[in-house]
Amino acid sequence: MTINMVYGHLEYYLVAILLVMGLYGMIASTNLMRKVMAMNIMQVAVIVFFISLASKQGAMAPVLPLDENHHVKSVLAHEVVNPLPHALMLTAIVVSVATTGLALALLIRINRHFGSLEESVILEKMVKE
Amino acid sequence: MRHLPALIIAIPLASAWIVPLTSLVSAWLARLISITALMFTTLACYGSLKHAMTLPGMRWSYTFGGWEASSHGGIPIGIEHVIDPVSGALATLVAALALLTVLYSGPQIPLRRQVRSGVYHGLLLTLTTGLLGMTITGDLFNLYVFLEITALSAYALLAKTGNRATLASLRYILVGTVAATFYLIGLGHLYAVTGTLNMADLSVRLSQVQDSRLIGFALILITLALLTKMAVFPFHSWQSDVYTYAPPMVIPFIAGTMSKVVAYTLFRLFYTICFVDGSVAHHVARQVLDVVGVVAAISLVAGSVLAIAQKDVRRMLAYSSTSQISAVALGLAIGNASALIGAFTLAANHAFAKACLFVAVGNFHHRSGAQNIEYLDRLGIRMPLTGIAFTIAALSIMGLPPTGGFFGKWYLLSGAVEKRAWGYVLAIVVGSLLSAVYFARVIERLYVGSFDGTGHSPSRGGTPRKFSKENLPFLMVAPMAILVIFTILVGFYNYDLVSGLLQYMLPAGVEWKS
Repeated sequence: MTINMVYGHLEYYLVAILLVMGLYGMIASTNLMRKVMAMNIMQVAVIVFFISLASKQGAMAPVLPLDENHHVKSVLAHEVVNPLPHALMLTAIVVSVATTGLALALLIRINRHFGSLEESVILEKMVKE
Repeated sequence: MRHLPALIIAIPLASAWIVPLTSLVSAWLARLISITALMFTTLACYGSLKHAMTLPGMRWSYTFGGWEASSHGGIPIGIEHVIDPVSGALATLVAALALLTVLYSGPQIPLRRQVRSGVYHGLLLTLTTGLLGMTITGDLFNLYVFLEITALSAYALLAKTGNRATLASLRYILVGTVAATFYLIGLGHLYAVTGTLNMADLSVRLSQVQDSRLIGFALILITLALLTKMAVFPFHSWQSDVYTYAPPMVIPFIAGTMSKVVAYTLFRLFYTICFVDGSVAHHVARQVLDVVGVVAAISLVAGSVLAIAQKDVRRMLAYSSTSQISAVALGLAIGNASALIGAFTLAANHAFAKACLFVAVGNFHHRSGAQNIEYLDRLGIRMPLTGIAFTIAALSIMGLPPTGGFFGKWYLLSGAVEKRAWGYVLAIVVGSLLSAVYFARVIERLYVGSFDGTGHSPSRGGTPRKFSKENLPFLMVAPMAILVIFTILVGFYNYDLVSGLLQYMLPAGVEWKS
């Protein structure tokens, strides 16, 4: 019973662990760069989650195969993985790239002005200004 | 004409690319293009609202590329735009406010800094695209994409003013991304159990799902994400920094529309997707809404209390927004006809009045450099029009008759009384009284404060410079006047507004008896 619960759902445990790791990192770390990296880990958790939704046992990639005469062979739905979550996650990856890029650009500006990415140092300098 | 719902997105999105490129040649031309684009967008929104009202069921569905979006037994793969009275009206409001904001920001952005002006207008247009997309899309994942477009343009716009703004923007990115991630996970659960992302389709399929724990988990995650984006207490901490450090010319737009659009998403989630009576989803949604109601009631009071404690006018208005948007969320949580009408009225009123307040504060700042309340000394007398606009908008937020805020709160209160939720009644009354306290403090400063403002220890943020003799440019006064007029109109023509538009916004099964 317990073995089955873990075995059949390993990927969901992975998702949960990644998600909590990301959240914890964003809250607990004092370095802004680390926070952004933790944010990335959290976004990856979502991607793993959606991709594991799409998977089926023994299914192949959702590409129509050709037979020997180069005609398209039809496939049944259970023979291929669900392509929609993959398509959704392509979009989510683009979003996460954009967010990370913007965050890094801001980090560069913060580092240039405050000379550090440690929250305590930045706060100190902000008070002095 | 047939493609109006697509144009609502296409016009601002296309011009968001054209405008920065054009600004390399001529900043003046770029500005003209963005104004024209937003004018056409507003017309497209209004036109599609008008057309949707004539259709049976008042629902105009536009599917892209002819791909079927709602399934009739099959698998829906298309994307749909839906114009109904709620989404059409909100889209019109968003587009119109965007237009006013572009006009207002004109005199504040020097045209000789071509690239800067071009990028600003481009980002404002993408922000508008995102908000309009969130409003009219009929697809939950599409909504996520537009949510991120909105958020990314807001992050970028915010970071333009300086180092504090950059830090505030980074914090906003972190919070906003957590919210978006939660939304996506909740969405994933709904997709896993129903196999669809289309809202109309989801509502049908979700009503057959029996697993209340799964639906509950998904709804809680999505609701948490939306409450964070709405900045409801205790998820509000990002908002005050954003409103304080963002460029003063875009804040009227952000404050006026962003939280309203997210509140609308909450409305869609609970009243379009989980509406089928007697289903497990409906039952779970009611339970989640009850929790939302309690959180909103606490936030309504807490936002006002926090607003009283602020020195900076913009920070005060930010906390006031928290309180006001909680009133809207409370209306959605109570969920009877009066409360929903109250929520719609309050949302419209807050959009106009809060935008107007931020325009007025921006104008005070423009001429005197004042940003803290203590430096606003008698500016209402020196700048009579701006002073009057601020006062009327403030009265409307407080909820004094005959402004829109009064009617909104009246409907909301009667909704709470009908439901015999005395705790909510208390929260609404206390929240309104407290809002009178913090606005009265500012209005007093504006009209009877000590004259030259000396004798105060100068604190950081908005140290006043010498009062500028120059009058405000016409384009900085006109949008304010228009916003004030709309604030008053929402109150004066309230009956017509309710009978002509708002009553059609109510979800199926909730009847309005006047």
